[in-house]
Amino acid sequence: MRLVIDAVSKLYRGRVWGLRDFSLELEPGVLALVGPNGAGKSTLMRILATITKPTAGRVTWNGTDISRSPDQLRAVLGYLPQDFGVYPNLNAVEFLQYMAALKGLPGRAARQRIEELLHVVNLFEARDRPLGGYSGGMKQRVGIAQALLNDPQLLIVDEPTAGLDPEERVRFRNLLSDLAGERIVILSTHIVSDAEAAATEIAVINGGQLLEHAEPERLLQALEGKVWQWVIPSTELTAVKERYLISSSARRSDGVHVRVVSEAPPAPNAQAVAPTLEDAYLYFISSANGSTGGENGP
Amino acid sequence: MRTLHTLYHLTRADFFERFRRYSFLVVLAITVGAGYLFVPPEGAGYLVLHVGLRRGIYNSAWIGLVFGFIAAMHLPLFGFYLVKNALERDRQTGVGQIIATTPISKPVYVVGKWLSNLAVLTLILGVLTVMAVIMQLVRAEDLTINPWALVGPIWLMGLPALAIAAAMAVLFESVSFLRGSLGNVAFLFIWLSMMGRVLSGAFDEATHLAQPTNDLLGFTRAMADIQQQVLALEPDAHMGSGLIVPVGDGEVSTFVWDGIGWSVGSVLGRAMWSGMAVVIPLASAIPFDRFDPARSRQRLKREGLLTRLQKRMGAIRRRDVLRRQCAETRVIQAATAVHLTPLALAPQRGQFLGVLVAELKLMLRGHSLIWYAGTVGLILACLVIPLQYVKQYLLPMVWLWPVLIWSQLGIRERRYNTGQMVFSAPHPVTRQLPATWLAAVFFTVVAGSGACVRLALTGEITGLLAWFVGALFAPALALALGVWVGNSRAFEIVYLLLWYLGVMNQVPAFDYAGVTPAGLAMNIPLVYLGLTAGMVVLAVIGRRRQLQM
Repeated sequence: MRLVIDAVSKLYRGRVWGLRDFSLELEPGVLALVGPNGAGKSTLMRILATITKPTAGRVTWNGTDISRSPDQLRAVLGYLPQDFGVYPNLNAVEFLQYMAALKGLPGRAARQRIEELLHVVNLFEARDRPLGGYSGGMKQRVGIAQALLNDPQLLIVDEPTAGLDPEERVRFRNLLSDLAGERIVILSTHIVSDAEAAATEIAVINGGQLLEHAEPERLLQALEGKVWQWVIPSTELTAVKERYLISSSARRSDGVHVRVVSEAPPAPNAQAVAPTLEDAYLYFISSANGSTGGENGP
Repeated sequence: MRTLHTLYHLTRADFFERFRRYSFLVVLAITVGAGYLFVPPEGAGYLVLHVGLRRGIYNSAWIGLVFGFIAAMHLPLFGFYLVKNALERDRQTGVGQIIATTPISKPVYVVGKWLSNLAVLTLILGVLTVMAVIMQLVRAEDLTINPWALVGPIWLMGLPALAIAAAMAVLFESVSFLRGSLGNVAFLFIWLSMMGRVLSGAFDEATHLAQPTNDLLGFTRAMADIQQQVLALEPDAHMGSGLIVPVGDGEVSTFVWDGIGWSVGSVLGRAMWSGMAVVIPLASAIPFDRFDPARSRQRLKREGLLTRLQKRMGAIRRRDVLRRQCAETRVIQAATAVHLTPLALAPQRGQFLGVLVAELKLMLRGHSLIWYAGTVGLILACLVIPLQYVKQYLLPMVWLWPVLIWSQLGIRERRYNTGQMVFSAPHPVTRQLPATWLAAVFFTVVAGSGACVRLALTGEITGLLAWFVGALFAPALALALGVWVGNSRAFEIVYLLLWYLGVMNQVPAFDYAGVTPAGLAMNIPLVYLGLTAGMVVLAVIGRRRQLQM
């Protein structure tokens, strides 16, 4: 099982690049694609899901070019788009039966799978209600269920936790962990904690280009000794924000506790702390943008 | 003052949103093309506007009148379908819910949408006016441009009709059951019957002379004026008239027409129609739901009768009625580890029948009980009523009834935003697309099975085969137009005109369903069989194109 993205570019109308010379090789595991809005995550996912063809480069699934033979990949693909709709007059079972038929699932196997999936996504009780009356989070869970119908070898989920309540988010993360193993899962998100919980690899993407691709531990290692906890008077917060890359701040009785990403300590009283993936994400994105925390920034 | 300011910006934003679309350029290009065809040269084989096969020389007055007639009689029909998406766009993009939270009142909002509709149609009228000038110079029968004679009829006849059409579009979008295909079909009938009424009431049966009145189209006043001038030149002239007629070489004579003598009263009469148009959007504010999704959901529940019945039966089986209603308010369980059993059976190839059945189920969902009952009633009525009445009354109905089904073809994935999921399933072009078409063909055959059986029993095998061609053609036309245009309106206009001409008025060339002996004798169904193949190929190309974007 091998997915190879080889120098893929996508040029949209108006000469806007969605992706530029993007390369990546994937084997079973969970890859989290992180990046700001407009980074090219959804473009990449649509190309991998055979919805869009790249302008240049190629993507191969087990050696087969997916632009030339898309149906080979589609047979083992599960895809949850970022923005999707449902047929409002169908109920969840009917919609999933429809999608199962499109995916070529035999009737009995489809029925069993749908029942189990409805339990997994916590929609079993609501399965007879028309989808038009579902809340956003419930529709999102229907989308997750349809992506898993054919037990996909390649599962692509674009912002899967958008609209889910905290409990459902945790439930979905657990599901992803359960699914990881003998399949490739690509998870696009800008919620770094989702990536942290489920991913075996993380790819940071910005401006349509791959900035970094590594295991989470490797990304964290790159930031060892570059993250500082610093207490400052609230009056200095604006000035500090202009000079340093701040990953978080919290007001306390003794001042503002800021978390600074910087090559050197911002002040003698700043204490080195363990980096998080959120720090790493900000670090790589800021490096690419060239807008880094002032004189000591990366 | 603040209201006017709001109205201005509402209209402006909506107009720009439409004006800047690529599809609007296509509309303008079609307008330019149509403008060219309205002024045919000698030997073109057709004539636009004549009285007793006489036409005016192509001076400003005559060309202005021709364009005025087109602007008043045909442009509003197409204009209605063109602009009937102003509220829908706000509904689909979610902007509507944002607008609903602002202080803007419902009347101001709907009037703003009406003005935006009118601005779009007025722009088209402006393009037609420019084309009128160009065509006068191109045909060069009279090179003197008389601005008032040219512009007067186009705007005085066209603008009131367009104002009414723009207002009707807002009204139809505000009334829930007129919002979709049913409204599109209904408007065509309303407009055609209104035109029929104006035209039939305009002429004296014995003399064919028009009686000038202040009708919406401005038709009778103009026609009476022309007839008077023709009679002044030739008192025995035949007064029969038509807008677009086929003619042979040398059949047409010309005369110099000086134009309509617009009096202050007649101009005020035209202005009165435009003023009356304002009443319609204001009335639309009453049924307009202000994008309240709760009201949409109530409708959804009313429509989904089968779903509700299934739900009810399921609840009784489980003896757990309460559990059905508590999904939203359930006690949140602690998030636990989730496990999904690996699928024992891999997805299979060659599941075409499964997809066909799934498409058929999807197609038949969400209609009202009346619609299902009507379908069954139509089949039964065709079986029991005498054949001559079946042919006269029920056969046209058989070819009209499935329009709501056909109009979904090729557009459903875009309308409900399911395209990314559906098209990433295997064989979206070679399996799902043909299954969609064949499911619609199947429904067409079932809905018309009563008529089919009657034709078979009377031994009308040719008619029966032609009927099947129609059952293949109509869904293929819907699918091709749906895939390429992206909405149902194009199909609804094209098909209903075909139906009106071919099935209702039995014009052989448009007899796609083999209902006329003349059409059968001319092998017209074979032409439509070829067109069916062409439409299917077009749909396949269109779908492939969608997947390569």
